[in-house]
Amino acid sequence: MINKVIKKRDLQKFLRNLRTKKLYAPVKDEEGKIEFKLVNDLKEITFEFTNTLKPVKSLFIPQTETIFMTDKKGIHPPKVSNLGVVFGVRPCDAKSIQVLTKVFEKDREDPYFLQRKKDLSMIGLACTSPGENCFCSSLGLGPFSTDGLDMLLADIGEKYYVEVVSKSGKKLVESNQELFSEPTKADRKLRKKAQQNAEKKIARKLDVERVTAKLKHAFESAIWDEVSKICVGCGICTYFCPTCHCFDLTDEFLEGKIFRVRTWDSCTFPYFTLQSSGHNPRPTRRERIRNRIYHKFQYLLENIGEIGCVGCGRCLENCPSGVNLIEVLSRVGKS
Amino acid sequence: MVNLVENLRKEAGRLLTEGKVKHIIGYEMVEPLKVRPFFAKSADDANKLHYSPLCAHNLAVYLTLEEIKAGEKIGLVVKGCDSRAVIQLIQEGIVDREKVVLIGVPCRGIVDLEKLREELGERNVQSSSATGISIENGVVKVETKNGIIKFDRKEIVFDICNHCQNPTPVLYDILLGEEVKPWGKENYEDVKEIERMDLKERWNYWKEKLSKCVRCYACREVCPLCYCKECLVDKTMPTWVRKSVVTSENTFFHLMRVFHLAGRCVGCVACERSCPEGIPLSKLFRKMEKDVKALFDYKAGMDVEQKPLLASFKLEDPEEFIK
Repeated sequence: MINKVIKKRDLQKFLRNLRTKKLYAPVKDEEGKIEFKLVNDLKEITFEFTNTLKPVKSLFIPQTETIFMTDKKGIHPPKVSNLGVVFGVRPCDAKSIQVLTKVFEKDREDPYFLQRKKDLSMIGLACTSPGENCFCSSLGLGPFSTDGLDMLLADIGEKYYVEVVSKSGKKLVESNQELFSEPTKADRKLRKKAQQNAEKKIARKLDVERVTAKLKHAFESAIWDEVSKICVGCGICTYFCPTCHCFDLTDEFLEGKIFRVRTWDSCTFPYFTLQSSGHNPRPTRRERIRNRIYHKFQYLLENIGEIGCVGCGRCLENCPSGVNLIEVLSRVGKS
Repeated sequence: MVNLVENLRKEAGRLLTEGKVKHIIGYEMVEPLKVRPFFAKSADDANKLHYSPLCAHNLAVYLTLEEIKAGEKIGLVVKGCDSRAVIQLIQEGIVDREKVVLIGVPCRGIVDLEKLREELGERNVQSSSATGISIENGVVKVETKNGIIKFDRKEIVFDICNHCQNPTPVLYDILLGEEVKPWGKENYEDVKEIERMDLKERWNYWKEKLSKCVRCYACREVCPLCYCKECLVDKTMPTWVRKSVVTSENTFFHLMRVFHLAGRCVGCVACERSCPEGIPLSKLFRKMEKDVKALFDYKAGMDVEQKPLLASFKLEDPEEFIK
């Protein structure tokens, strides 16, 4: 791995040079919510945030997208373009794109997702100050991990410490050589310190190995009854999850044209499994919560060799009734 | 506050051991600044019940669950606004008054955790260092490892709490502590601010807000009065609202909810609190509440004997719409 440093004021120049491609980065809105947006003015980019409200998946699988349009003249596929550069991705979110890539490549390739990912440069921002709901270190990741990234920047005061991870990252550095320099011994020390501090701040822990082993025999456990009682059945935990990817396909008729639309769907909704006969194999929240957890910690592991959780803590942060994934799984682990 | 929690546990323990109720829906503390709904089934569970100025959830929402409706008598912890939701549910025939014991908590305001985190941040205090929180005489006290930090209630509770006219539950079987008088005035200033905008400005305002909706339906799911077996937006034969998450469909969904809750919404704004995108839903619902009050002199969820607004009429009701 190549290590470099870049002065903070040179980062602006670097980002300006990257804008030959489209550039997406975290932007703060009026309500103070942080979202990935297409950046027109570099000043819009925010560096002060724990994590974006919606995960980076929302760029790769937009909540609503037209798969094709059909009219009297025929079938018209949409033009899907590459994302270009995504800057300011947290390590947990970067890992989620690796997980999603395996999902969208398996069996049948998803051209929409893969097109957006083509020639992508994903530049991460290390978490120097993880949030109170973060637990990435329990998933084999960390506030400074580089999985799925081309390059990772870590704030070390006056400069950013840059870890170049991939060929694409290397290219970006090479074409902006004048902005990067070799890290000094002091820079390395600062980076190490920042990482240690960050890792210490992650208070929540989960024994994933134990949980995945226990889940094999916990399908009929009483735990599911208990933890599902307070769930109100909204879609927050899935919509805001970086790895949840289930979708619905519907045809929408508008002004003489038919659009086949793909939208996010959620296994926490009763309609997710409702069959036309009227039968619902997951009739209550007990079965729905259980399915969500089994999908993440069992089925994905069996199907693509990855766990469908990156420890970002968004489900803990946003659940309106306080369902806590770590607590649920810890109970399974202890059972 | 300590007395309140003790009383709550005592009363709950009594109800459960005497077999008066099957279980009690209340709150539990998960972390010093994190509370959540809790189903207490035994005397042991009763000792886990908790109450703090962070207990925002309107627990009346659980009364509309099929298994609760079909089940035995239960206990429910209610604040002022929550009790009004229960009254409304009784009026509408959804809840059987005989099957619920209401444990009323006189509410001194609910602290907005987002505001609190921000204030603590400005004082360089990690919210994780908090060990407790209480509210008394208009002052919110946050206990931390390094001492107590005080806040003026008005600054730190949800905006809606500063308008509240019913901090003491309107209906209860047991009241924990003394009645509380309203500390704020209802002037609908937040609604008037929107009303003063011209049509274009107002449309742009809502267009911007509603374009953020992700249709997670948390607003609908946490609402005690949104109990339809099948919501209009979920219907597919025919489809009334497209699955596409776009401003037009989002707007339809939210306006439909407002109209369906006319004269029924009790203004707890659980919807706004649950919205991850921060859409100011209270302004829509409070506009409806204000209009209902002006047109029909009606306030939802105040009296179990009263008929629901849309199921009643008065001779003096305005009828300009009949031409």
